[in-house]
Amino acid sequence: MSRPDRQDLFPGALEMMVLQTLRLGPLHGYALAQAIKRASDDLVRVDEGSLYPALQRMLKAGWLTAAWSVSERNRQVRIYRLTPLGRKQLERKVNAFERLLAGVLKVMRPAPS
Amino acid sequence: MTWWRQIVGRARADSELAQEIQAHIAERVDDLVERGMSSDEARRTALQEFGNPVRCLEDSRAVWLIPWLVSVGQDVRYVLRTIRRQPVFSASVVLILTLGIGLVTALFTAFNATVLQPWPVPDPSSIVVIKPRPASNERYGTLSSLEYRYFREHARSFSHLASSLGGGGSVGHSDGTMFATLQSQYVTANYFDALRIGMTIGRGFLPAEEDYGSPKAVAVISERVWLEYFASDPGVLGSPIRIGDKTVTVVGVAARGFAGVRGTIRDDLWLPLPTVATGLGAADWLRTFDNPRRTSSSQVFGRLRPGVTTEEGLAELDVLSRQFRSTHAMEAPGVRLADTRPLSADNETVRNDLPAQSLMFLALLLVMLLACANAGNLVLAKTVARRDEIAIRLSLGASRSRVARQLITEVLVLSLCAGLAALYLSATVPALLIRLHGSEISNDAHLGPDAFVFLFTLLMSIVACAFASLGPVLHVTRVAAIGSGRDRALAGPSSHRLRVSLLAMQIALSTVLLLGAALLTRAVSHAMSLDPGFAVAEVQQIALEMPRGASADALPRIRETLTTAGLPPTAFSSLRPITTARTEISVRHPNQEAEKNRRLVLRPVSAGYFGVLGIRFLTGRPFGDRVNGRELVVSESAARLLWPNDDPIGKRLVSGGSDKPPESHEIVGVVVDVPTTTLTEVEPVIYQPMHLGNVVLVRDLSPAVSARIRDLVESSVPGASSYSRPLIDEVRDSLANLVLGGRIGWVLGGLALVLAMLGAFGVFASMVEERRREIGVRMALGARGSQVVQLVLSGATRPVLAGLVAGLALSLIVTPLLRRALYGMSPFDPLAYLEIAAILLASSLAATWVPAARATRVEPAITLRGD
Repeated sequence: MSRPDRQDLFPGALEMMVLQTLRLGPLHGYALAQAIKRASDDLVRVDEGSLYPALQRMLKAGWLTAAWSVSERNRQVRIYRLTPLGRKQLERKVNAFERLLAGVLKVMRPAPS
Repeated sequence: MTWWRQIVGRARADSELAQEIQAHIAERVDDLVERGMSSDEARRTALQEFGNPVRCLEDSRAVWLIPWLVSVGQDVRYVLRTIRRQPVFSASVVLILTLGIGLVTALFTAFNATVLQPWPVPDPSSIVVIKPRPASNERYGTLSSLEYRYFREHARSFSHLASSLGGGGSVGHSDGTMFATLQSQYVTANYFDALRIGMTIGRGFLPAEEDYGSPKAVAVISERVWLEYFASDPGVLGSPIRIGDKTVTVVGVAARGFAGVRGTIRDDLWLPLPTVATGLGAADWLRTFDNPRRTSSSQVFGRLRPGVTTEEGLAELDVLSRQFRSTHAMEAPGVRLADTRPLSADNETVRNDLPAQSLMFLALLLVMLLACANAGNLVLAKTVARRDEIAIRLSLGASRSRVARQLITEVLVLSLCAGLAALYLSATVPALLIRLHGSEISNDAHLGPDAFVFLFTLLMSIVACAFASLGPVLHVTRVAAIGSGRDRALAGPSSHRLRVSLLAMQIALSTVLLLGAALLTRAVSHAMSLDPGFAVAEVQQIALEMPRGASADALPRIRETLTTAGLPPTAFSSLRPITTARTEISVRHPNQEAEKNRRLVLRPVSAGYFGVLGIRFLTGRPFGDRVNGRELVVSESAARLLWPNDDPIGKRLVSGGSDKPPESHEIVGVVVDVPTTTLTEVEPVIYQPMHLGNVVLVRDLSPAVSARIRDLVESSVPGASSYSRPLIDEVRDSLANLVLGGRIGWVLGGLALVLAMLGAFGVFASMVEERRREIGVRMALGARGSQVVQLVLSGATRPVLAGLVAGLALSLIVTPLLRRALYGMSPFDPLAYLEIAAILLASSLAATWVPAARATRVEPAITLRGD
């Protein structure tokens, strides 16, 4: 269904970053992509083509809600907002990610014995 | 119906997503432009960064759609597998549903053909009827045929102006056997062209056939007549048929569904207008034809040329009418135009047929619901048997709604199969129904399934699915998820109760149907046993047909011959004793104004009529047998109506009114009321002496007498013929609808009963199956066979009795609707109720006996070991 994502390091990374970004406040799709890019100092570029399917997946899972509103440039956009369920999901994902990262780091930089 | 919301919702979601993506790209372009890019370059860059928007849209859509599609696909595959695994079960469900849906669809097809079909004339809005306005001395406007021809020659607004004149009569094969009384029309040669009605085979009329100088004896018949009396044999073209005293050659069969332009009256036969003038007095009649003042009762209609409005047509005809009438020094009130609404089958037919049709529809709908309940019962039994499987699927995480959806899908697939089969039935059965129904149905235009029928069948399939899956779905919501494999006993009672109440419902519905049928059937024998007040069983009626051009003394000669031939007593009448044909007389008391006239049924009969038919005199005597006698006999109710407080004998009545010179009559006798139209409809009747009638009545049924009469008729007037028929047959004909209704009722009721009994059998067979262990235990503990039988039968008693009582109660409400058809019999006829109760109890007993007997063969040892 969804193609493998070149920018995504591992499955679910995009979703985690979206959830994290939305935790700071509701955003529309373009602003969301820009925010992730900015926050990562342009190290991570969101593939915009896969952002929207991801957003739909998260909508379906009930992690987000969407509502039509107006952007700063006065354009009709859909604003995404984190739900309590999404917040919980974020915590779970961050925990899992941190554990994974710690494990990977341990392997990559073995502590001096 | 979440899937429906999903489909509708998806369409909106797609467009929203597309809008969102456009907004995204636009924002990016704005950003880039703010950073100093040219707008073209910015747009290019933004699109490049975004990637393929279509792909993005599809991926987003797939998030929602694919799991759903996959699950539907799963359901269908699962259902197909299930159906393949249980072919007998699936086939029986389809069969039962086909029966139900098929019957309703068949009736709907007939209804569709008769009521919903439009008039088969192309572009009917350009056809207008031309109605002359009445002159100052007229009540209704009239149009002479000369004026019609003037219109036809001069009117430019019309492509055709056609005229037709009503007729009718008995039609038969050329060998003299009569087959029907049909409505016919004498029409101008352009009649079919004006209506743009083509011929199925053969041709319409040729201009040469409108020659008044030499009438051509040709005819066009309707497709209905062609089908019913000639079995659609193309050889009918060129073959002669008899219409009254004329023999004509069939030259064409009019296109399917066409039944003339008279709306409720369906015409089945068309003859060239000049042929109206053959036979008696033809020459005189033709002479009057060129008289501009001669009024005619013909109907004139025209087809407007394309682009010509009704107003323009009207204006032209108005001018033409004034021109014509001024040249003949006549008052010219002008004309008006009527649209063709009165031509197409108007609301009256629909209104008249509606009660009968809707009653039948209701009965069929009941049968269908029964079939659905039955199919539901079968599915439920199967679902109960599949309890373990369902429980496992539930415990493996299938949602209840998903399991229910699978069940519904299964029933839907089965009921759609049944719908398809029903469509096939609907293409074959209605023709049969209409044939049975006979002439009452006005317009058998289109009997195949069309879009309407197709939609209706689809709807009925869905309704059937909803009804049949209701019980099983309710049951699924109660199956326990885990560990149910062990506790069979726990899931039993509730589903059993459901099935038992479905069974009770079926028994109730079949009771209603059977009771209706029983009442109708009893009404037939009741009506036949009614004493109509005359010797209905002993009288033979003989219709005389005079040859073409018979001289004026032909009828008197026949009468003379018959009365002097030493036959049993004979009487003459202008109408058959029981007939829907109607003549009226308008009468008043001698001192009253003409406005006070009352119109009563008139029967012109010979003096011997009362004696031959055995109509009893209450007071007075028959009128004398004098030509143009001024004596009258009235019926009891007429006497009561006209002289509520007096003895009518010797009183006088004045007949005639504005159109006829008044005549004074003397009342000489009062007879008992006898029916005149149908067996039960008694109206006040006035009998007037009539010397010459072409219906001969004789109180002798022996073929020898009718043969003798035929010989006498044929020898006294060469070319004359006679048809004889026992009067009782006429009476039976008038009950034909009732007999048919009863027959249909029995068939439907019988089907319903069979369905209900199959249902009863299924319920108790599966009950025995489920309680096998309990029965085994009981038998191991010493229960005897009779006690086991009792156990099963006691389970059956409640639903059967409840259904019966409910059905009888429902009948008390429904059967009064039949009251009009019952010929005075009470709709609460106790015998009919008893009969049906007995039938139902006996068949219920039979249906539960087999499972009960099977229960006694339970082997205690095997059952207990199996546990």
